[in-house]
Amino acid sequence: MLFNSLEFVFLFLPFTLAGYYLLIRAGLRDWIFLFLVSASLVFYAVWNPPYVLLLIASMLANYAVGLGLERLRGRGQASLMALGIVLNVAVLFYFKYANFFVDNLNAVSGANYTLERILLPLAISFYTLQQIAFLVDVARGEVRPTGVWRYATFVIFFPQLIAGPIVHYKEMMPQFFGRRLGRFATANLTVGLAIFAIGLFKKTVIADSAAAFATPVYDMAAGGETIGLLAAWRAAICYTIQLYFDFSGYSDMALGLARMFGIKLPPNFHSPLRAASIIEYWRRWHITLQQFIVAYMHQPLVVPLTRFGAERGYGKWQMFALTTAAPTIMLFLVIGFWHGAAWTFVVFGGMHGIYLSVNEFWRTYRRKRRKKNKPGPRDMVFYHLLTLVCVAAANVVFRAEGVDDAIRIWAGMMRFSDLAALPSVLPANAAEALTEPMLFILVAVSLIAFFPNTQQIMGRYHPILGWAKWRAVALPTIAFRWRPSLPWAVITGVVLFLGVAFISRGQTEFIYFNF
Amino acid sequence: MCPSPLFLRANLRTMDKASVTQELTEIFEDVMDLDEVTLEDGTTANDIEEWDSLSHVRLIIAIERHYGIKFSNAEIESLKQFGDIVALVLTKAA
Amino acid sequence: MASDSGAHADALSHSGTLPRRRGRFLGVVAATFAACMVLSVALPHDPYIRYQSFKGTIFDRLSWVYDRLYHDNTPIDVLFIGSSRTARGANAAAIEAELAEIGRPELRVANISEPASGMDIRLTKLRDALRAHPEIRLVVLGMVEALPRDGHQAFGDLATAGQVLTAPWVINRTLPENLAALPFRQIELALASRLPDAFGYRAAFDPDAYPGPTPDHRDFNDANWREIEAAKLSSAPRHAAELAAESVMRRREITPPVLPDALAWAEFGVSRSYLQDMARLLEDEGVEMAFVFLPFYDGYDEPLDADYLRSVAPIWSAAFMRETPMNYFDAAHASQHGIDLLAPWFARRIADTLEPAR
Repeated sequence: MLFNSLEFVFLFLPFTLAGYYLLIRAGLRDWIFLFLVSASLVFYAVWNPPYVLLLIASMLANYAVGLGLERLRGRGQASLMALGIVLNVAVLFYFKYANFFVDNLNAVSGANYTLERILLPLAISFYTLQQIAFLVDVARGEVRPTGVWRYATFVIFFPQLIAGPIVHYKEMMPQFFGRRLGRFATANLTVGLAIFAIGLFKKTVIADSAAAFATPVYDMAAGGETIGLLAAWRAAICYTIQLYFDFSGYSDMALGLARMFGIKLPPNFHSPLRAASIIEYWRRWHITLQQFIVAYMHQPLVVPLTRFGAERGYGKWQMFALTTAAPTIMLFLVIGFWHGAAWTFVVFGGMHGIYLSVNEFWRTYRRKRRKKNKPGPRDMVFYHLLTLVCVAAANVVFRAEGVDDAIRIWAGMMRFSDLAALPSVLPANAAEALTEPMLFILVAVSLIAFFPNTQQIMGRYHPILGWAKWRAVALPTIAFRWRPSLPWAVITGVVLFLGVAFISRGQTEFIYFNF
Repeated sequence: MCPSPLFLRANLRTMDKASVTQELTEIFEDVMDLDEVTLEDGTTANDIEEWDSLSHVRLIIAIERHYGIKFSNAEIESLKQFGDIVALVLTKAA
Repeated sequence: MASDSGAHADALSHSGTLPRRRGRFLGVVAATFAACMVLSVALPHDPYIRYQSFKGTIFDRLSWVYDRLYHDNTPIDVLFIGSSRTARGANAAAIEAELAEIGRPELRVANISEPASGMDIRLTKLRDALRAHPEIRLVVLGMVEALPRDGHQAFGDLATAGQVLTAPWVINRTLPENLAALPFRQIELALASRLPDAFGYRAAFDPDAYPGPTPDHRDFNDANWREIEAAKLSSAPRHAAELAAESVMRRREITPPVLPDALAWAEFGVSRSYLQDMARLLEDEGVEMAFVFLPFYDGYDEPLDADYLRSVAPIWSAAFMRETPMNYFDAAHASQHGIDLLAPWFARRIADTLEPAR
C-alpha cells in the first residue's frame, strides 16, 4: 500500500490509529504490538502476499541469531555473527542480484544460463540493513533481544518498513515499551498530521510535477536521441528536484505517521541540497543509510587499514590513499550497487566515491590556508553551485535506464555550442509558465535554498530523534515555525488538501521503493 | 609525531586524569591539524568541525599507538565524547 | 529516548493550554480541508475542455461529440448512444442514405457512441444532446449481453461535478474513486479553461479539425481499418475459426447474475438507475426510446436481461447477423458487410418508429 494512496489515507490509517488508541485506552497493552504487527503485515500484503512470508521468515531467523549472539562470547559469537550477516546478504543477493549476475555472466561468457525473473521483494534492501545493524549491536553488547514481539514491532512497524529510515533497536524500544506510550495522543496526532501533510505535499505536488518535466528527456535518451544543452540540464535539474522531494517527502510521511503513534524516528534528510560540499551533502542526504555505512562498514574497514598504515609509518598522502580514498570509493561502489542491480548504480556510487575523495583531499590540502582566509560569500555561492552540479550529474546516471543513456545526457549538458542559438528560457506567456520548466525550477530551487526544511518548520515540537544535534544546522534564510495556532491550522488544512487532491493526478510509486 | 616508547612507558606509571587529558589534547591537535583547542569531557564531534568519522579513526589509532593499547570496533563506535576517550584510556592503560 | 519524547510532548501541552485546544486545532484543519474541497468543486470551467480531456485515450472521439452537439447546427432526429458495437454497427451516413431510399430523406442521424458499456456516462451525453438539440425525436441505446455492474470508466471525467456528486450510492464501485478525484479534476479543468494552450486543448471550435456530422467511427479506432479488415477476411475458413474461438471466450466471460433476481436492483444498481433516469428524461421530453442489441458472433438472440429491458423500452435485436462470419470484423464488431446489412434494417425500424412530420 502506498502512503500516497486514497486507501491508505482514508481507510488504513484511520482504522489503524483508532485500533491502536482504543487498545491503549482499554489498557490492553500486550495486544498493541500484536495489532501493530498485524496491521503492518496487511499494509505489506496489499502489495504482494507471498513475500509476507519472506519478511516473517527473515525477521524470525534474525531474532534467533540475535538470541544466539547474546549467549555466545568470543570465537563462537564472531562465527555466528558472520553466519547471520552472510545469510542476510545471501537472501538479498538472491532476490535482488541473481538476475543481474546471470545476465552479465551470459553476456560476458556467451553462455545461456536461464533463471526466471525474480520479483524484488518490497523493502528487502531496508529490512536487511536494519537487521544486520541489530545483529552487530547485539554482538557489540549494545542491545539485548527482549522478546520476539518486540523485535517484530521493531522490524515490521509500517511507517518505516518499506524504505526507511533505517532505525536502531536501541532507539525504538524505549519508545514502544516505555511508560509514556499513548500519552499526549492529541498533541502527537496533531504534530504527526502536520509532518505527514508536508511530506505528502512534497511527493504529490512537487516531486510528481518534477517527474513530468524530467521523464520525457530520459525517455528521449533511452530512445537513442541526441540531447541538446537545454533538455540535458532540464533532465539533470528536474530529476534532482524530483528525487529529493520524492524521497524526503516519503521520509517526512514516515516520520509523521510514526509520530501519530507517539513514536519518533531519526531524520533521513536535513536540507542536503543546501550543502556547500559533497561531504556535507552525504551527512544530510539519506542520513540513516550514511550512518549505517559509517558504523557498520566504514569503521570496521578503515580501523585495520589505519593500524596497518601507522605500523608501516606511511606519510600523510600514503595514509590518505590507503585510509580515505580507497575505502571511500570501494564503499560507495557497494552502496551504489545496493540501490539496484544495474551498472548505472555502480557508476553512480563510483562518482560519489570519487567526489568524496576529492573533497577530502582538498580539505586536507587546503586546511591551513582556509584557516587564515575564510571563504567569502562569493566563494560560498561557488561551493554550493559546484556541489549541486556534481550531485545533479550523478543523479542523471541514477535515473537513466542505462549508462549509455546517461552519457547521452551528460554530452548534452556539455553541448555549449547550443548556447549561440539558445531560445529564451523565460516563459513567453502564461501557458508556457506551465508547460516549460523554468517557473517550476525557480520555485523548487527557492524552496530548497531559502526555506526551512520539515524539521525546521516543526522545530518547536522535537520532530525527529536527535533533534538537538540538527537544530542549528543549515538554518534557512526565510525562517518560520509551525505552531498550533489558527493560521497554521488553516495552512495545514490547505497543504493536506493539496497533497490529497494531487494523489488523483495519477499515483506514482516512491523512487526508493525500487531499492 | 610519536615520542619515543621509552618515554611513554615512564609516563604511564604516573597516569592521572589531568595528565591524560593533557596528552590526549596534544594528540588530538596533532591528528586534527589544529593549533589550540580546549577539549572538555562533554566535547563531541558536533563541536569541532574537523572531528568526523575519518579523523575519529585516525585519532583512535594514534591514541592506541601512543599508549600501546588496542580498542575494539564496538569501543571505537561508542566513543562519542572526549570524556569517554579519557575514561577508556585510563581504564585500558592502567 | 523516552524522556526525550516525553519532554517535547509536555512542552506542546503547555505551550497551548490543554489537549482541548489541540482538538480544536484538528477541527480547524478538518474544516479547512472540507472548505477547500467545496471550493475546488465549485470552480467553474468550460465544458468543451472537459470533452477534450480524453486526448490520447480510446475515448478521444468525445471532443468530436461535443463539436457535433454544440458546434454543428445540423439537426438530429435520431441519436445513437452505445458502446463500440453500436459505434461501428450503426453507421450514420449509411443509415441516412437508406432512409432516403425509403422516402425519409429528412431524417438526420447522429451516433455519439464510444467504447465500453457503462450507462452513467450516457445520461451525461444525453442531457447535453437534448440541451443542444431539442429536436431529437428518437434515442437508440446500444445494449450488450448483460447490463454492466459498474459505471463507465470515463464517467468521472466527463460528467459535471454535480452529476458525480449525485451519482447513486447503491453498489457503485467507481463512485469513491470518482468523488476523490473530483477536486483535482476541477482544479485542473479550471486552470485548463484559462490556459487551454498549456494543456493542448482548443479554446474555440476548429472547423478544419471537425470530421463532419456523420464520421465513420472506424476512423476513430484505427486509420488502417480497411487493410486490417481485408486481411482478416481474405481467408474465410481462417476468419470463421478465429471468430468461433473468440466467441467461445466471450461466452465464458459473461458472468451470470450472482445475486437472486430480487436483488438485481442492487447488483446492477448503477446501470438500472441510469436507465430509469434516461427513460424518465426522454418521456418528459416526449422523445421515443429504443434499445438495439448487436449480438457477438454465434452469440445470443437477445440480451440475457431482455425481460427487464423490455419493461423500459422496445428492443431491436439484430439476431439475423450472428451466424454469418462475413458479417463480422471480429467476434463483437460488424464488418463492412455487416454494416451494409444493418443500415437498411435500422432505417426500416427508424421509419416505423417516427411518423412522417405532418
